[in-house]
Amino acid sequence: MTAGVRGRGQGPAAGWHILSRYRHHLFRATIVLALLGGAAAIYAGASARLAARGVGTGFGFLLQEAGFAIGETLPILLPSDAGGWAFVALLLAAAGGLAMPLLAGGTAARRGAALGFLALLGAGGMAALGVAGVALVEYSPERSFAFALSAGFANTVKAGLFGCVIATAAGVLVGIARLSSNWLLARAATAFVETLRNIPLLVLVLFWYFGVLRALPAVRQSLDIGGTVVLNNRGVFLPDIHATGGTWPVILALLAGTGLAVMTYRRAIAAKMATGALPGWWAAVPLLPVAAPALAWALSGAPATFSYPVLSGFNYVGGLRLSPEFAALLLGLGLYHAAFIAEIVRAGLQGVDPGQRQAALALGFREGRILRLIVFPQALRVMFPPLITQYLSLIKDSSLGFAIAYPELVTLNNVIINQTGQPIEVLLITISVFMAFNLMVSFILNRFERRYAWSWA
Amino acid sequence: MRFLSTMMAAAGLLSAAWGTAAPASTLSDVRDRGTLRCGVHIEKPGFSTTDASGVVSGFDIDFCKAAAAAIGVEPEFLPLSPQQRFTALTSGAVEVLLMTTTQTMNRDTKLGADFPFINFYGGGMLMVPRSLGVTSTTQLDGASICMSAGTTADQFLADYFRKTGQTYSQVLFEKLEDGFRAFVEGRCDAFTQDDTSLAAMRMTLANPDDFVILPELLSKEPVGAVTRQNDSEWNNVMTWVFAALVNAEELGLTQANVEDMAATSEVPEIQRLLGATGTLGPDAGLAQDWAVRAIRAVGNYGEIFDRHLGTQSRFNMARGINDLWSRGGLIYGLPIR
Repeated sequence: MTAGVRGRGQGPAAGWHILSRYRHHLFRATIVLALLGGAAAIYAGASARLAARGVGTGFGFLLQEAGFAIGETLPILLPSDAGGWAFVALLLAAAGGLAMPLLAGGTAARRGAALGFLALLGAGGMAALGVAGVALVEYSPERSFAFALSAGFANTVKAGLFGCVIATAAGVLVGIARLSSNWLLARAATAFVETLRNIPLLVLVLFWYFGVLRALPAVRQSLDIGGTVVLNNRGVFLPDIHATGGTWPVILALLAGTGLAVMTYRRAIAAKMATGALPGWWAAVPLLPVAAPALAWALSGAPATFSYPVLSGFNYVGGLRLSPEFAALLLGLGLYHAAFIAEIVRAGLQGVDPGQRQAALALGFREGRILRLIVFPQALRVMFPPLITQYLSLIKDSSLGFAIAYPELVTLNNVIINQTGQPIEVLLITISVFMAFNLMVSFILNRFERRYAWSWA
Repeated sequence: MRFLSTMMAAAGLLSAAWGTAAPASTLSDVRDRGTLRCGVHIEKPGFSTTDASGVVSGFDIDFCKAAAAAIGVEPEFLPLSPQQRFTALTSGAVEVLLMTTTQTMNRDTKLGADFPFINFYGGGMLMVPRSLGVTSTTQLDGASICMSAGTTADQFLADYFRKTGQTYSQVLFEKLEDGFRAFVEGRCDAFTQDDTSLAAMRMTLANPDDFVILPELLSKEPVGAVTRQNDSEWNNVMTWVFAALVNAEELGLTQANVEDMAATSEVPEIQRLLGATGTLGPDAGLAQDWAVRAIRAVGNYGEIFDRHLGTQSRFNMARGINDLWSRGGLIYGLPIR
C-alpha cells in the first residue's frame, strides 16, 4: 500500500505503480487459484487411487441415462442444438447486462428503460421457443443424470423462492403484530414466534407432511369445490390454462404490457416530481398489463383451453396440482423462517428512534402512514443484512424436502449416489450448485440493499 | 441425517483414497484384529433386526457369524444405510457387506466390488390396498407408487412401466418406514419393495388383510455378500464358507450333528468338508476344522433360512426358488474338493 499512496514519479517505475494499484487483486486471485488448485489436486489424487481399486470415477456418468422417475418436475429450458445453446447464452448475457443498472443504481429513467427491455427480452425468449432449437422439456427416465440433477435443482429453487415469499409475508405481519398495542394480537404473535422457532425444522416439516396427509380426505372422498378446485391426500388440484400454440401471443402481450406499464409508471412519477400533479395518462399503468393480453387473446381468436381436474382411474388428472410434499415443505419452511423474520422485523422497527414516530404524530400523521412512510423505510436498513442471511438459510433448508419425498436437489443427490456409487463427484456437484446459487442470491440481494435500503442516506 | 452420514462416508472415502494403499491381506488383518466387521442393514425384518436388549439377529447376520467362526474371530456388525454401503466397503470400514445387496453388472464393474456369493434370490413386488380392486400390476396405469431410497426399486419400476406402456408417479422417501406409512395413510396407490420385505412389513400392520401383494415379480434381485475387488484370498474365504453351509444342507449336516459327523462319518464328501481328510481348510488360509466351526455356529443354509424367514419365524415363508437345486430351487453347493 505504501507504494500506492506515494505520488506518481516519486516512487519506483510506472510499471510498479500500476502493479501496486492492482496488487490486492493479484493477491486475491492467487489465493483463489491456490484454493482451487488444492481442491483439484485432492480430487485428482483421490480419483487416481479409487481408479486403482476399480472404483469408477469422473463425471462421465452425468450424460448416461438416469433410468428412474422423479415424482414432480418442472419443465426445463433445454437447447437441442448448437444454435439453441448460443441463443440461451446470448439471452442470459443480455438479461445479466440489463439487470446491472437495476441493481447498481442509475437514474430512474435508466432503470425504467432497463426493466422495459428486460420484459421485451423475456417476450423475445418466449417467441424464440417456437423457432430456435430451444424447448421446454419435462424430465423422464430416458433423460440423463445431469437432467435429473437439474430437475432436482429446479424443485429446490421452486421451494426456496415460494418459501421466501411466504416467510416474508408472514414474518412482516407477525413482526409488526408483536409491537401492536392490542394485547391479544401482540401475545398471539409472541406465541407464534416462540412456538415455531423452538421446534427443529425437520420435526415441523414431518409434522406438516403427515399432518396434512391425515387431515385430507382420500381420493374417492375428495373435497370438490364446484368441479374446479379439488382437495385430497394426493394434493390440491386447481384449474389450469393450457399453453397451446395460440396462447403464445397472450403471454407475449402480457410481458410487453407489463414492461410498458413499468415505463409509464416511471414517467408518471417523474412528471409528478416535476409538476406536483399526476398526469391523466397515469390510469394506463394498471390497465396495460390486463388490456394488452386481453387484446391479443381476442385478436388471435380466443384460443386458450382451460383444463379442470377430473377423476380418472386412480386419481384426478388435468388442472394444476400442488403435491402434499410441496405443500408441507412450503408450510414448514415458510412458517419456521417467518418466526425468525418476525424478530428481525421487530428489531428493525424498535431500532428506529421513537422521536421519529413522535414527530410524525405531532405533524398529524396517522399510525398506518407513520409505519409505512417513516418507521418501516428506516427499519429496512437494520433489517436487510439479517434478512438476507435468513433467505439463504431458508434456501438451504429446502434440502429437508428429502425427508418427506419432495424431489429436490439433495433427494436426487442421494438417489444418484446410490445408483452410480460415485459420492465424491455427486456431492461436489450438489455443494457447488448450492454455493453458486446462494452466492448469486446474496450478490443480488446485497446490491439491492445498497441500492434501496441506503438510497436516501 | 443420511445426507450427513453420506457426506461423512464420502469424506472417509476421500481420506482412505488419499491415504495408504489397500492392506496386503484382508484375512490376516481380520485375524490380527480378532474381529470380522460386517456391514448390515440398520433394520430389515428377517434379515437384520435388533431386539430390545440390543442383540442383532437375522438371515444376513448368520452368514457373518458363520464366516467369523470359520476364520476363528468374533463378528462385529456395523449398521449402514444403503447409500453408505459401498463407500463403507471401499474405504475399509467393513470387510464384507451382508445387507441384501443386489448383484448387478454395473455394481460389479464400476464400484470396486466383488460378489463372492448370492445367499437369497428375491424380486421386486407391489402391494396395494385390497379396496383398490387391483389384481395385477398391469392394471396400474396412472397410479402413484411410494418407495424408499437406496434400492434398485426406482430403476426397475421405471423399466417395468415403460415396458408395459403404463404411466405412474413416484413418491420416493428417504426412509423405508416413512414411505410405508405414507402408503398406509393413502398417499399412494401402491408400495414397492422386494418380496420378502413386503411380506414382513404387511405382517406388522394391524389389519394385514386390507392389503394384498400383487403376484407379478417386477425384477430379479439376487442378493448376497459384497467384498472389495482384487482381493482373491478374501473372496475365496467368503465363497467357500457359503458353499460349506449349502453343502452341509445337501449332506444332511446340522448344527446339532456336525461334531458327531466330523468324528464318525465315513462319507468321503463329509470327511473332506469337515476336515477329517485333506488340507482344503489350510489351503484357503483357514483352520483344518473351518467348516465344523461355521456349521456349529449357525447351522446349514436351510436351518438359517427356516430360523429367520421360514417355518420357525413369524414370516413363515416358503423356500420357493431359495430351496436346494435338487428340490427345484437355485441354491447349489459348489463342490468342496
